[in-house]
Amino acid sequence: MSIETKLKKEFEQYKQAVSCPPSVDSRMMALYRSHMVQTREGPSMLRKWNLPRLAVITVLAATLLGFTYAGMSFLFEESKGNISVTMSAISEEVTLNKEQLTSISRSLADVKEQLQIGENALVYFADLEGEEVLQGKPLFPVSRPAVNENLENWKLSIPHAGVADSVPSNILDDFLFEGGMKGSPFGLFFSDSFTETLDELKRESKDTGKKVVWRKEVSSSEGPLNIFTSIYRNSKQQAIYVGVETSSEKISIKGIIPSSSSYETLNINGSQAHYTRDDNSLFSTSLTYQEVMWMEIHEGQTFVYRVASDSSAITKEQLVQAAKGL
Amino acid sequence: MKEIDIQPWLIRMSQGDEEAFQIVYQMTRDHTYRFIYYLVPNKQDVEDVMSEVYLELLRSADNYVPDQKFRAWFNGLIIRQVRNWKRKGWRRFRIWDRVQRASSDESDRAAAEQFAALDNQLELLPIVSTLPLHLKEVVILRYYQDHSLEEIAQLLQIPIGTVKSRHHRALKRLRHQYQGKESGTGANEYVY
Repeated sequence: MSIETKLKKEFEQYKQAVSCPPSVDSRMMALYRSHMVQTREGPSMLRKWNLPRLAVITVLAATLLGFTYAGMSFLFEESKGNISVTMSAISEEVTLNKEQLTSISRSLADVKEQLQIGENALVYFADLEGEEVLQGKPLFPVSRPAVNENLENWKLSIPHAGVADSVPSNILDDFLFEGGMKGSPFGLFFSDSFTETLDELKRESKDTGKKVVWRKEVSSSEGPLNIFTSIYRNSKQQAIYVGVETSSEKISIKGIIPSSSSYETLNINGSQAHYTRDDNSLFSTSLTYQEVMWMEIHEGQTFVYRVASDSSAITKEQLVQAAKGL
Repeated sequence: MKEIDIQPWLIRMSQGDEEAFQIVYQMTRDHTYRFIYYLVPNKQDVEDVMSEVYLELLRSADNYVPDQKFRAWFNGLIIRQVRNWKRKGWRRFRIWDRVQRASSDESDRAAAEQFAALDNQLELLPIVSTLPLHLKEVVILRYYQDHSLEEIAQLLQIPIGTVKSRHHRALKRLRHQYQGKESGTGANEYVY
């Protein structure tokens, strides 16, 4: 048989084994609608979508996941300017249970206490090696960013005048400015250098018998996404976090939440917004994380806004009201 | 994809008709998915590249001339998006995935393993997956999409001589690697 004939035969034979999964369909329709919204906003708002150079994962969920799990359902995709944000939900069957989440959360908090301000660390959990959802890489970054408690100094440190000017001294009347930080207290930024550290920590765990081992990690840069988070707190110690994200590069932000999370689309001052609430969040000591997210373009720059809380007592309506008041 | 059936929907789609986009998408989705699947080494990228393809389709639908064969025009669009993906160094921070693109050796092994895992009866496709992109394109366009070498030259916007050269080199590599694989197993089939 000629190689040409064999090639044709194998392509034909293999054709039925490769077909487009139905989960892709909703993503494509969302993409279409997002594109049409941008097109209607006018030519000045339309950016040719060249492939982003970099993607940052913002994890809102309790578990850290790859993107190849069966049972993932697409929630939304928003693309404006140089930033694209995608959110998917994953089956509860592959997420970690509450006990595991609580244990991880406590261990991360313990490590955080041992860090100096501005330091980062990577924490390895040997007992989570067998968890399918972590795909053999039970490694979690943790950081202790500096918090600027002076509102005016915080505003001065934000390079975007429009963003800086809009940082209020209080929101919803009784939530007062507590501090501002670069980065987000929720979600993670991953680097390929973590893989090398993972191997070293695995060896250390094996050699010492410790189930949780960690080491400080030196970040070579802040990463491609610039995040400015302003923290507001009320007398009940409930917090609302107002985050603004921007980048000079073309990036894609992908997040995953458990399918048990709540999701709803909203409108914030004319922009399509997305509300999510996850009550199994690893990055919240209360295990609750909820946020309202939307995107805007100002003077050619794309901004991702997040108004969030780790307090289960804060309602969606409060977050929406806070968002609309910005 | 039937050439005649899709054209009216393309025109309506370019005028902002959502239903038309849905129909164009449904008519092309499996083809697009498979085509990208064969071309990209990391199968996790297929859906992302697919997004780029349909975004580009929306942007450039006005450029489609009805006299052209849609299939060839669309295949050219897909190939350009896959090349963009590769060329611009799309680095993705995925959870637990390496940020840097794997070395060509690593991705060759990963690609071949994926085919092998899925169907032990395939002998050539796993080897095709390890070809460099510029050779893989010609093989897939010729033997999966049944384009003539002249059509491939037009679609890829390269000289026909270049297409013939790449085609020749691709088949030579396939024969060499296939026969090298078979020589130790006493194959009862000679592929020439």
